[in-house]
Amino acid sequence: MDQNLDEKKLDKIKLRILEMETDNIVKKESNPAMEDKIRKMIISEVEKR
Amino acid sequence: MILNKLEMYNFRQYIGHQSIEFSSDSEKNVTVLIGVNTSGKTTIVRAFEWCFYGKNAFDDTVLLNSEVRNNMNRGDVQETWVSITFVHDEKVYTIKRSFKYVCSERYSEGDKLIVNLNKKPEENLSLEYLQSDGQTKTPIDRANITESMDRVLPKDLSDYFFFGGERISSIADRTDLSKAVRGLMRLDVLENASNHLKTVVKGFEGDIDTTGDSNAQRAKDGLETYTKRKAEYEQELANYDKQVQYWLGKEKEYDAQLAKSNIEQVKKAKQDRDRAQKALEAEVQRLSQVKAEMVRAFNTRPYAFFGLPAIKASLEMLEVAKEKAGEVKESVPAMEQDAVDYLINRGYCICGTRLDPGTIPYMKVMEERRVLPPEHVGDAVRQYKDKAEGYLAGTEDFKDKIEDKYKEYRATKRRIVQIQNEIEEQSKFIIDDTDAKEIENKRRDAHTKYIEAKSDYDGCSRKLGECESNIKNCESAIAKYAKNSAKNQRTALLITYSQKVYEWLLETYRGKEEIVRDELQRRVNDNFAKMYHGERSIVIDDKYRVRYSDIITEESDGLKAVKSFAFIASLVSMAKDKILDEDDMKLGQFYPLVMDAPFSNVDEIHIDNICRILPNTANQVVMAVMQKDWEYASVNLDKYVGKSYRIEKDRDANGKEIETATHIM
Amino acid sequence: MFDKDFRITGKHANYWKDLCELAGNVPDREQHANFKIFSAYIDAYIVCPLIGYQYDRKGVIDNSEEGNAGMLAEVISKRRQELKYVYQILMLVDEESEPDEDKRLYRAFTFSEENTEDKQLIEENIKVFNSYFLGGLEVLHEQFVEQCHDDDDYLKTMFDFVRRFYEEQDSEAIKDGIEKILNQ
Repeated sequence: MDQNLDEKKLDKIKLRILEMETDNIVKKESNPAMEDKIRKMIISEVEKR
Repeated sequence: MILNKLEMYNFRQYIGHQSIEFSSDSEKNVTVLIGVNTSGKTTIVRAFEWCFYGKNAFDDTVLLNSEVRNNMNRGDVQETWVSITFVHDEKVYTIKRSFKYVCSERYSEGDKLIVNLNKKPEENLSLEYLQSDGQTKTPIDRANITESMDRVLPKDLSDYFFFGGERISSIADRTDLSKAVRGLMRLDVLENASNHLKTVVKGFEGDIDTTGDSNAQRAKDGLETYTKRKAEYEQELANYDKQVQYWLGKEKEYDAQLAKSNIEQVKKAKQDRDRAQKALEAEVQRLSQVKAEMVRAFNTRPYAFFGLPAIKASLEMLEVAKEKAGEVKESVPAMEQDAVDYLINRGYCICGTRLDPGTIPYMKVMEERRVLPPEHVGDAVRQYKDKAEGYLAGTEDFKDKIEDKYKEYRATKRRIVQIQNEIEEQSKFIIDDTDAKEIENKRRDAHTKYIEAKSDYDGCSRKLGECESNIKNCESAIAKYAKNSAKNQRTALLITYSQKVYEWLLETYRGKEEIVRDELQRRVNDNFAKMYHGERSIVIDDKYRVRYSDIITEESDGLKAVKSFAFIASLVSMAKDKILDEDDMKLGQFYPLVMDAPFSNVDEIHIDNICRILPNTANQVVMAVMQKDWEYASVNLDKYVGKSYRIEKDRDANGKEIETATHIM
Repeated sequence: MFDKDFRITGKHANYWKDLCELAGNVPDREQHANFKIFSAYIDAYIVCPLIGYQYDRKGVIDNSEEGNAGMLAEVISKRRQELKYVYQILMLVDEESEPDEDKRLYRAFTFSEENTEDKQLIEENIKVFNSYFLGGLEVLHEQFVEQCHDDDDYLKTMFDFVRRFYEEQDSEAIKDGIEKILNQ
């Protein structure tokens, strides 16, 4: 079942999400806004080469 | 954050310009401000809060010094400000907040002078930092100042670092400190990330196109419904939990009050009642066990019991059949029932005799048929009889077991009623004492409400569990479909990546949370042991509440204060030690402790202990204390004092202190 | 036999749910929230046919009421031995479906489903089994669900039902009789 996941991509996504959330502690954007950002980030990271 | 300097100008009772430089020496890290009772200690703490966050907690909200105010004429403008210089992330910052007041009118009413100021003073706020050349100042945009300050010392946590003596005892009693602790340890980043990602994953799952498969579509619809329901249940559950905790807390409160009673009888009755209560709980548990056992007994081979008459009839029948067959001594070798059936069907025997039903030849042939193989019929009968024997053995037990269980059930119920009556009696005893009567009523009421809330909670929890398993079922149905559809493979890939990251987040969060809680608990116990002269140990529960690991009936104010100190000291030291610091997570900061009259509610022996460990808990300790408390505390703290000031009031011609003219020297 | 999924609809399905602990995803769980005397559907399926026979009740599917309940083949296969046993008892003693004694003997001990005739025979027999099952559900529903309101009632009725059954059969005599036969 499991497609082979690119470890590098996974780590990249992990890092990005932590960075975004750390920033948001102060920025305090709404939940839907953050969810949208994260969603877009994941799509772009996964579809990248 | 390291505090360098606090400056005030015409702020509250402080007239003119005051300046306090804080000690940042690593050994002598205590700065002490000594004054007599109402001489302005609290104001200093509040000055911090106002300057940093714009928080104005004064009863009379006018911040301008009264004497300056009283000298204003209509149209005059006067300013009051507070500025703090501090170091954060190796940069030196200065924040300054000021209020400009305009006098709107001035008149006398009898021998009273009235000076009114405009309702909303003009506020100015500036934050700037020094470049590495030590000279150039770079200001920060006004719009970003609040954000920046929050990054330095989050407002939500400020209560823990700036506080007054009266507030100390309440800190460790707060009902939910998890937000504060998590914020401090930056666990909130992980938590927020997990929550957001969870929603994102759900979003991707929703993108799976299930229109081709009705099962998957149903699962998708089901998922939506159940997810909504789950959120509702979670909300309900949280509400019920609040109620449960509230009523439980109330009940414990009243219990503790009752325990305080000096009357021996009341004490003893309460002890008896507690004992009976425990016994009651055990019996209630036993009752539900017995019920389950009775059902289990009813479900153990009931067919052997309920089939008894039919089995008997069947065995009799088999006996008769055997006897009938017994008239024929031998059977024709190698002849089977099929052969006889064939003869009967064709209508005449091997020898040619007609085999018509009712005739003797026919009956003889039929007799023969009865003893003929198929061999397996004989075996089957034997097997059947064996089974009957085996099952038969259990039937007496079946009835007896059920009877026994039912008797036990009744007996347990009777015992429960008995104990309940006992408890009633004891409660009545407590009620007879008029003082305790009211408390006992309140306690009873709280207990009932607690039971109700608990049952609501349990019911909701059950429903939530069912909902969650329904959700899981739907998700796996959708996943199964996603794998099979080419259209959905891209989305499936997104889901896989997101899920993996989500799992990693959860794992990491849980791991770190455990570390935080364990470490916090260890430090709190450590500090507590150093501060408290008795024997107690502390447990941090999942809401980061500070609990004693043994049940106690009362807690003195001194004990509360020590508990709070231990907690705060631990929190601050953990932040200082950056216990979770990793290169990419930038957690942990220095925090100072700024306290006003910290010893006002603590007894001497604790003051001793607290003083011994305070300097080690934070980078800087700033303390505003009463003269008399300082005399005592200085014994232990003197060697840590890097800077010391006196808070004094000007005196008038008669030597009386002028309230509105306070100075820091 | 006893190796396929089994499902019923109508009022008996609801009776079944009222009497047994519900497992898995059950949408109308709330309508059957009473005390359960059986731990699982299969337990009722094994014993109700005997109760139905004893009370001489043959049930017929009644879809005037909405209801749906069933068991998967795996669940049934696990208890096949016991089901076979109960099936055999009924095959031996039920005169209404087969008045001829010899034929009853035959049908109780023949299990082959080689040809179509055999298959048909077995199918007919299973119908008898199932109709007594429905009857048993009716009896228990009347005795328990329709009369009991709380757990206390159920437990008392379980006790009474078993006791009465025992006494009515003069079980001692029955057991002695059986004992005698088996030990000849």
